[in-house]
Amino acid sequence: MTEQGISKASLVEQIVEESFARLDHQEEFGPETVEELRRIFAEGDLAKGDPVIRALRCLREESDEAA
Amino acid sequence: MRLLELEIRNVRGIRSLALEPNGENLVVWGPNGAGKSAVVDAIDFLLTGRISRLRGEGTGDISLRKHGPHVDHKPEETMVRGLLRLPGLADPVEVKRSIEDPDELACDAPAREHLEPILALAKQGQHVLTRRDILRYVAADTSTRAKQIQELMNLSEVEKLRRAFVSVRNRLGEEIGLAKVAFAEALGAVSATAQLERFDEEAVLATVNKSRAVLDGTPISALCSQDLKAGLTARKIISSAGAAEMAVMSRYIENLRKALGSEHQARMAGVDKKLRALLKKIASEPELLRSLKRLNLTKLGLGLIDETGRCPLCDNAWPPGELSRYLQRRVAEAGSASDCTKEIRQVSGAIAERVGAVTESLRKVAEAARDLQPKNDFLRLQSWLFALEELSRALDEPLDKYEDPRFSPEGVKRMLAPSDTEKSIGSVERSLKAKYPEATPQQVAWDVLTRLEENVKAMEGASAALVKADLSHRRGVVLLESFLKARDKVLGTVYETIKDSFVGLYRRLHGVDEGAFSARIEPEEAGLNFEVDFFGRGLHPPRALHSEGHQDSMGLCLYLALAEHLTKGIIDIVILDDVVMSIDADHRRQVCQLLAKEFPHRQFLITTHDRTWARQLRNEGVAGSNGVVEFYKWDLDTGPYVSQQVGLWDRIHADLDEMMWRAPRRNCVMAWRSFLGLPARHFKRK
Repeated sequence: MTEQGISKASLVEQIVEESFARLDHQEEFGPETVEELRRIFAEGDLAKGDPVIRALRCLREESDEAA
Repeated sequence: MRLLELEIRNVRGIRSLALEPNGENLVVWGPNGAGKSAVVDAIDFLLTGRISRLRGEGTGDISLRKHGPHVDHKPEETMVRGLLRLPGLADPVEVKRSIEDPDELACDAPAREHLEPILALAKQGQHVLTRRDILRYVAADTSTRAKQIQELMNLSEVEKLRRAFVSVRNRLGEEIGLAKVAFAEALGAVSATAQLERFDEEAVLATVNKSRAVLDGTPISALCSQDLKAGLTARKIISSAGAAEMAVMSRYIENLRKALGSEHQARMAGVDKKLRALLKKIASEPELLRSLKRLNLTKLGLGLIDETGRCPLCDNAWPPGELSRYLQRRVAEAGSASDCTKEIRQVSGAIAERVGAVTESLRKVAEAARDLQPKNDFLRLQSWLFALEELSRALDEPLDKYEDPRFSPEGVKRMLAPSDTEKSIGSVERSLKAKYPEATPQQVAWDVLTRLEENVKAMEGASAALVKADLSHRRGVVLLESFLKARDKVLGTVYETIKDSFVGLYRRLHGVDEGAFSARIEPEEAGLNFEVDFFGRGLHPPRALHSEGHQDSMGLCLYLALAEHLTKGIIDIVILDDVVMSIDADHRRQVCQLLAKEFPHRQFLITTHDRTWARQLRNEGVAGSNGVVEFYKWDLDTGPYVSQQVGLWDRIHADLDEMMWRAPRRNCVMAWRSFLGLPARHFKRK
């Protein structure tokens, strides 16, 4: 794949990276949660498990810890 | 990837055909129906396992298995073979596919990993441009264009992600709703034990301190489950379980008596009347009522509109952004209706809270009465409980449900205070007192504190769960917003690059008359806005002012710009299937020069029915002398008749040879040759 070629993976990855870079500055999220969410959505292995379920679990756990 | 050889057997209109482009550009020209597009179909099939023309709108009754093979042949008799040069591999790779098993691409195992990215891109249809595609890019409405280009860029993956983020937010939103209900129920339980119509922290605290005083405890200043019994000694006041039960039960029974009393009934009738007045006011304004009734649905619909812009309810197509704007207007219009809703919610909520407190007490008493004889009292209390639960549900949605005759003023009055219930309560009280010994004031106080301790603990748990649910929901909202902003930024950059490339290419074609040509390509809601400059008179949709020829040029340039960003270095082959129909000869020459000079790294396969265009492609160096193939006629048994020499006389001789082979009488053939030969010499001399 050349540098000029924009594959579907790189486009999706760019968007996901940009999304989570923005979250780094949000007070609602701890760095570990951002990292975990980034893994869930950016690995490109959405087939590993429903990302919705995994993200919900991650967000709930963070809320539990905050409480 | 470049195509070195192509062999087609029994696919579409082709019986047997072998072409050897050797990685160079190839022009296939011939009249309509000569089988040119079958070559495009065969390459499409080789790379994707499907034939794009047999899919999509209006092809419901067409199948690859039935209509892919030559009409007289079966799927197992079909074959497309390609010899490919792949990036990163020194030796060419042979690949084969048959309609018998279209998902199976036969090739050597080591080549497979090199083929994977190519096949993945090919499945998005990024290697073929047809005139139909051009119309989709240029002349289509913004949503169709967006869909087409997004398919090319495989943005369905991005859309899948968006849906996942929306789903996360919505699920967390649902959880917050459930947490609110649980918290309201916990408040109701505390209120019932403290004998309050509505939850009031100070009043609950007063009840706690009153019980603590009976037990010689000091007052506490905050309502915290851990402190309710702090400093009290249990040993002094241990009572039998039954007595303790009775002590609290007496309070619930007292609550019920109060609820049935005339004072409470009058208060409830007053609030009920107020609610009815509000509902009547809305009912007198049908438009307001309609706005209110659909407000929730409208808000729900707004959240469900996806990238396609289609209606999430009926799936009808809307122009991009249009449905969203329409629903937002509806929400704004329902503004005054929304104020009215708030007032209704306040009033119905106040009734519901009181009903909830009575329900909690009634549930406890009915439970205690379950084992008592006679059963009539239990059944009567249970029937009242069901009526109150039904009323609670109606108060949740008074606009829809309160107009039901069951909830008339008389009906609600009966639900709040059914006849003979007072009698049943007295009977249950007497039975319980007979069953359990009377409790001392200390026992009552201890049991009240015990029950309140449980209730307050549950309330604290529900409150914490609500806070967590709220926090999680806010995170879900931020997550989605962040994704949407990132998506728009990344795609915006990609579109900007494509636009610059598109403008550059178009200026190469039409620079003489449109040297200052500019364009705008940017996402707008769910669509993709594409506007072009018209001789410095502002930006307009491509089909608004430009000629069809210019529109064809635009479609070609936009496709080439997209292809450069999507497939360059992966699939170098670009198939242009009859795409310059409306472009005049002068501009076609420009197209030739553009293809030859700007895209030397590409391998073009160009089909056309236009002899002049085929000749231009050869003369301008797009195709070499062996790179032009003529399909000069076609029949069902043979398929296309192919000639790589585009000379008229060569073809006449080829025809004559063909006739000789077929003709039953040699004399007749010779007569034809003689007849055609004379004018041939005549024209050659001229």
